[in-house]
Amino acid sequence: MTGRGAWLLVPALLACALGTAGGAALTLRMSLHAPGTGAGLYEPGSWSLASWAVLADAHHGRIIATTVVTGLAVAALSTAAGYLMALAAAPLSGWRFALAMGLILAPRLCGVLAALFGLQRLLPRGWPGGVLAETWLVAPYAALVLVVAMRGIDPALAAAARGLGAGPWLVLARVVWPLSLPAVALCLQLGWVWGLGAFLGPLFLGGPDQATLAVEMQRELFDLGRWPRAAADGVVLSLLCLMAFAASPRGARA
Amino acid sequence: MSPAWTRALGWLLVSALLVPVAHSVWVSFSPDMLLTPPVAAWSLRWHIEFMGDPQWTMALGRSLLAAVLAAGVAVPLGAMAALAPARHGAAMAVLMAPACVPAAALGLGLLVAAHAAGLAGTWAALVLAHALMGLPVAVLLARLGCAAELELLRSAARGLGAGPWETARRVTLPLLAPWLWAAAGAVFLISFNDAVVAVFVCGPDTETLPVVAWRQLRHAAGPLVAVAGVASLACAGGVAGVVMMIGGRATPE
Repeated sequence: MTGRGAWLLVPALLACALGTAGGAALTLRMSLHAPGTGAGLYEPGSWSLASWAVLADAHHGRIIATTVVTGLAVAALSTAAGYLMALAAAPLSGWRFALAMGLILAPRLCGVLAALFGLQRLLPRGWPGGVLAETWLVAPYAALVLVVAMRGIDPALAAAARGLGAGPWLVLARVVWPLSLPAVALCLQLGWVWGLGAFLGPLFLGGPDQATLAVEMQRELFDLGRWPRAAADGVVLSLLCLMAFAASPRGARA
Repeated sequence: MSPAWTRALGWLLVSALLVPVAHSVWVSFSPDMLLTPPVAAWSLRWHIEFMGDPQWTMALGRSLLAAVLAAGVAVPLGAMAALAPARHGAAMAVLMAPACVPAAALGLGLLVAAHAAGLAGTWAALVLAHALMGLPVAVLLARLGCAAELELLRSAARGLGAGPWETARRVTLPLLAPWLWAAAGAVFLISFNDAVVAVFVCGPDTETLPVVAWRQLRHAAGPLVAVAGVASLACAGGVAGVVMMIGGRATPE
């Protein structure tokens, strides 16, 4: 960050750093407060590991396991769905391409509320319903990343493969798939991180035994008024996301 | 480029994305409380009831206002960051962080921060939270507008004696305008459709449309939630269309 005008970065950097890292630090501090007594949400100024101790019980173990499995399922399903949608949209041009991208992104960008109502009525209750609803929310972004990657592939490569006698399946397997792998890795990584934070799908469609950390966090916060416990759940969720980033393939992080 | 059956499957999935939204729109015209899609008899009963219920109409107004204010905060910050001369990877990682953190964790962090700052449940907390959520997209879109030609034209303007403000007014802003409008539209949609962070940072006086609907969806979703979805879809789609039109007109010849 050198040269004149570098100060232009400062306001946005400060906002992002304070909003994310600052919020995370305050959440960690909140998790170390003693639980509130009576109507209090927490004991101001106190220090306690009580909220962290409960994370070791079987109930929380199951919630963390559900969160991780949900994250993996959402990542795999949203990437697969996004890949197929990208294969359909990427070869189009002009208004057909614009229409295809509009159809993929518009329901996600404009109609989350309508979609939640529809998903709640159309999908089965339970873990599969929650995962499918969350996949519905993530897949359009996966399709967007993959369309950009596929349109960046030199069309001459596919034409050359066809000229050498390769059929559409072989072109897909030997040309398009290998060249789109970095984008697939990125989608898996983002899908995993967003899937770990699965909230709306499990909340509205998941059963009580399939709560994720995000759902448990809001339950502790709003239903039970136990802010330190909610904060401990939030810290664990953030740590899981950091681990997901760290465990992702190098191509996805590049 | 790919076998026909993979493309057919892709289109099937695109259709599947539209089904829940279409179902919600359809149910909103149901004449009764049963929430079944109407076939023979269609009715605007719930739409009329929605328009006459201040709980919903005020929430819709608050959603629109919060989205406009969030765009007003995020777009200038994003444009400034995009115009900075050089960027480290670390700086970009920080700028993209709000988009990579799960929304629920971000919401909790912002709630605790707002509580510590005495801003819990206020408009400031809601607008700043939504601006933060939209900032990564605003930076990315503004950066797309900062093509190599823009830098050359800015250098040329400075070489001809224009000061920083005149260069910004006469060269940078006109060339960036379509991208800034796109960024404003994107931030607006992110804010308007947010049903996670808003749940954490909204207070009773700042409840947005998704938050009111969220409370109802958790217990017993009535037909008014379907109408709220339709209203949200219409507003978001309308604003996106207007922004695209203005952005298109702002494109320099």
